[in-house]
Amino acid sequence: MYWFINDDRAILEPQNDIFATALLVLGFVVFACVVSKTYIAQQDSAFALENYEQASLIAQSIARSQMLQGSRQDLMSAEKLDKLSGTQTDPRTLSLFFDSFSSNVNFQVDISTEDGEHIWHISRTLSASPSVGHIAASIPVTLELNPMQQVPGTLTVKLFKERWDI
Amino acid sequence: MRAMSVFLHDERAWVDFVLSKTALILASVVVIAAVYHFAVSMEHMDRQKELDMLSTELLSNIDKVGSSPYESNITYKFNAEHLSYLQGQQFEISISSEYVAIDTNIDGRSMISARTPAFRVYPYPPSILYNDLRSEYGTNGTIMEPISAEHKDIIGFLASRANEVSFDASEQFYIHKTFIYFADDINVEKIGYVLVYQ
Repeated sequence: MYWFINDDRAILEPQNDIFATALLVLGFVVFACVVSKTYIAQQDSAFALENYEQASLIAQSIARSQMLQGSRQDLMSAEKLDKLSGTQTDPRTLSLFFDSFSSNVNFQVDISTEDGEHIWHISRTLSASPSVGHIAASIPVTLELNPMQQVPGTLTVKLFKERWDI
Repeated sequence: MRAMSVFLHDERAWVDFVLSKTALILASVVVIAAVYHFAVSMEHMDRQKELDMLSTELLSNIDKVGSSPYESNITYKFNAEHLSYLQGQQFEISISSEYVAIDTNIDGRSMISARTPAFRVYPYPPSILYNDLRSEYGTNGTIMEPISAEHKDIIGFLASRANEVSFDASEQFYIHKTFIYFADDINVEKIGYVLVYQ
C-alpha cells in the first residue's frame, strides 16, 4: 500500500477520465436496475389490487346467487352446492353457473364450513393457455346443511389471469 | 517510406490522445442517450398507468352492477380531468361482450388499455336486446315471456350479435343489469347480462 501511494510514475494518470466514465456507467446501470425492480414490485401490487376487487365481486355475486340460495336469502344451500361439486355434479347446472360469467374469466370456487367438515370445490375445465396471475378473495357465508342446521363458512374465489389481461 | 518512418518514430502520442478522447465522447453520448431514454420510458409508463386506471374504473362499475343479484341501474360519467398526463386528451372507448378498451393518442403515440369484465356484457340498450331476442326466438326473454331455448343457444346468439361498440367519452354511460328468462318443459331459469349504453 505504501509503495502504491508513493508511486510517482503516473501510469494511470492519462486514463483517469476513462475510469471516471466507467464508474458513471456502472452507477447508472445500478440505478436503472433499482428503479426497474421497484417498478416491477409496484406493478405486482397494482395487479393484486385491481384483480382482488374483481375476485371479491365474483365471490359476492355467488354468495347472493339465487341459484345457490337456501331457505332464506342469506343462506347458501348445501344441497344445491352438491349439484355443482363432487360426484353428484349436474353438468347442466354447472354449465349454467359458469355461463353467468364471462367466458374469458377463469376461476374456481372453494366453499367450506368453518370446522372444515364440509368442503365444495366448484371449477370448470380451464383453458389450455397457462395463467400467470392468481388472486384469491374470500367472504364469510352461512351454509344451510339441512333445514335444521346452519353453520358459518367461507367462500373463496381463486381467479386465474392470462398474460394479456394483467 | 520516409513518412512512415516519421510516423513510427513520432513519440508525441497524439493518436493515443485522440482515441481516448473519442472513446470518452462516445461513452458520454451513450450515457446521456440512455438517461434520456430512461426518463421518456418512465413518463410513458406513468401515462399507461393512468390509462389503466381509467379502464379499471369503468370495468369496476360494470362488474359492480354485474354482481348484483337483482336488476339494477347506474350511470357513469367518464372523467380524466383529475389526471396529470391524460388531462384534456381525446379517448376512444370500445366495449364488446369480451372486453372494455380505452385508447388514446399522445404525441403521435397510440396507447391502449383493455380489461376483461367478469360478467356477461351486451353493449346495447334493453330495447335492442329485447328486439334481438324477439326476432330470433319469438319472445323477448322477460319474466312474462321466457324464451324456449337452451341458455347456451341464447349466449351464442347474443355473442354473435354483439360487435365492438364505440362510445363517446363525453357522454354519460348507462350500466344496467338485466336477466334473460328461459324455460324448458318444467323450470324457468334466468341468466344475467350487463347492458352498457349511452
